[in-house]
Amino acid sequence: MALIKRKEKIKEPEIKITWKEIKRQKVLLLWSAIIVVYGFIFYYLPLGGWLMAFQNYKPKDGLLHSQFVGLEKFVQLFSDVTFLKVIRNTLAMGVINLAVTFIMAIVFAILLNEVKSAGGKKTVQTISYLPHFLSWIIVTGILHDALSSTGIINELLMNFGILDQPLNFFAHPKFFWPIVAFANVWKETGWNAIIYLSAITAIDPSLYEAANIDGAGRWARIKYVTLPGIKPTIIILLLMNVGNVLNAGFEIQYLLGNGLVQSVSQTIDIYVLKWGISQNDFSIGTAAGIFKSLVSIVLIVIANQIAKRNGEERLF
Amino acid sequence: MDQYFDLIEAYNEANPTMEDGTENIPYTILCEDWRYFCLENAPQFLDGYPNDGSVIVDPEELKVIDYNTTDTAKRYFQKLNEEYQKGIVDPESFTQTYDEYIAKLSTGRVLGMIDQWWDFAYTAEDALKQQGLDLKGCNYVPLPITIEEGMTNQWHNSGGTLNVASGLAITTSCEDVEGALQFVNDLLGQEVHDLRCWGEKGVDYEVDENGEYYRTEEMRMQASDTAYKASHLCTYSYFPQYTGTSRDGINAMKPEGQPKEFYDGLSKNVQECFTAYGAETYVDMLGTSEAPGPWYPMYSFSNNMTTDTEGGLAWTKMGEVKHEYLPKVVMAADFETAWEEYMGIYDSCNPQAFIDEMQAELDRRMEEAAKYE
Repeated sequence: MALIKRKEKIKEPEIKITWKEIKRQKVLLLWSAIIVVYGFIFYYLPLGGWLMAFQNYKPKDGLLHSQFVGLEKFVQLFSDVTFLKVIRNTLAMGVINLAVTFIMAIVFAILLNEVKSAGGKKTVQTISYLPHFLSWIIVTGILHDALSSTGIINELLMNFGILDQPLNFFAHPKFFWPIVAFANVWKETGWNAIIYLSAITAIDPSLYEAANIDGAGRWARIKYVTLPGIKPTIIILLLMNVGNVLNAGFEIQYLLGNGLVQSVSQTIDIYVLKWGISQNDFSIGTAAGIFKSLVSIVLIVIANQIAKRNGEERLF
Repeated sequence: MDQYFDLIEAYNEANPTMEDGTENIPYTILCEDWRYFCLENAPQFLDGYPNDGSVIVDPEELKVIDYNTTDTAKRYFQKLNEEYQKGIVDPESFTQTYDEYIAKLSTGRVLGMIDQWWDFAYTAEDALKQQGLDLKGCNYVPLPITIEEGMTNQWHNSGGTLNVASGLAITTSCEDVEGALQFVNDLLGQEVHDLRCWGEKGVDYEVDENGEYYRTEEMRMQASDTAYKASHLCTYSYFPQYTGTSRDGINAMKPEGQPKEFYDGLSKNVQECFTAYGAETYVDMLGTSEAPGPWYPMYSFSNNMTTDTEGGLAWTKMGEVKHEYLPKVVMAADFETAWEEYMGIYDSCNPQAFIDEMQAELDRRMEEAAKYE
């Protein structure tokens, strides 16, 4: 503790902005300028399109000449029962996905770290992160086959006598969220674990030695050394992912969904596609998109404040 | 309709599996995304009306009728419900994707389904031929099903109809509009059209002494191969093209429209079936009707509706409700309750607004047509 306190006391020498200083840093400044321009063009400029949400936008009239309607599109959006369901679905799937993939990745990384044989560890790690590189269309194809009435899951369940009739998993709304969560875990666990594994390797080995000498068993070492060691990583990733909760997915729900489960399968992204693109109502699509962005910003700020209050790592 | 399902049931009872032991699927329905017309618009045909797609048009009174709420619709979905409970309707009907549907048809396990020929012919039928399953009797022959026996059906209509739903556009920045139109024109010329649809003379088809085109069995096999089709033929289904008789007055614009070539290309089984019915083509099986009227087809209007209008909004909502509730109705343990619930929610979509707009379009089309009489 003493060490950390002393660190805090050291103040960075103030650098005055002088021409000389600017000249000295010109390469750095040039590089950052490129990033700023890039960010402006690709992140801020498109925000001009948000205007559409307050207009009755017609491509023929363009952004400048479409009729201005104020918040009418938002009123329309929130009086649509479907949209309210869509928000619920997006939030539910987002939270479920975040929780399971997040916990699974940490557990998996710790388990993998405990494997002593280097070869075995490498093999498991490689195999487990490969699904990350498959596109969703392939993953959903596999799921569809595996869960079909003649697929491996139904065959197994029938052989074990749990079912006597093949079960059509995709016809029941109650199975949809678990299937999506499972698919996410299967696809992303190995990939997400990589960052935790690298965080674990950064832990000072002498801490483990000390713990050993103090008589800590494997469980105690995980609890008192590994987990506290990767806590900053966990918090930062959690913060970033909270902002992503509303990005619960598009492809997987779009590809696995069908009429029977549409009341639980549609996410905001699908809604935007359906009304914004297919129905040519760009205004309502944009309004839904704005809503999503605003909620994401609010979520990330709240999560950040909580982290700040608890004296943890934070994004800003 | 009842006879049709009796036939399917009887066959399935006598032959529950394929030769290799896989179980047959007695009846499947495609209802993925926009292709759910297979499930939803059957009531128009069952009542003997043509494929207006989204509504029924009463040709006498020129009134638009909603086929979703007719007695026929209820009877049809009730029948599907009964068949579902009996295990005749494939339980995966409502969850399968188009690809899975085509894959199922391609195995020859499916005994019957409801679909438009173009939706499966170029994929599943060709796959059956490639595997030689057509020789074992795995083929589809159309049947004109109506709700009661002895009604006139309009599953097939002939005569010129104008589909105004889609078209060809030239960009305003095109420097040589005449040239672009000439290019389109050339692609529609007889020689190029033959090349697009029939292929190369001597390679993909032969000409007999009367000038009639025909294909050998190898050529037909070749033309049913997906990869070969992609590299040698060029129908461009969205590009302007002709069907019917070619400008030489002898041949058809496309091989599948050439009666003799079509008949010779069929497997022995289908030929026998046709002989039994006294038919030579699919159209003979269905019988044909004159073009319904100048308004036809109404789907070219409803397909282009947007949520800008009240009717368009209703149409979108109706589609959404039907996507969810029609499968529910078919799978329901208690049909009556499910149907009541469905009808209640259906009414809340304001279908009348949609019907009114369709009626207005029908009136407009009749007025326009009257100018040319």
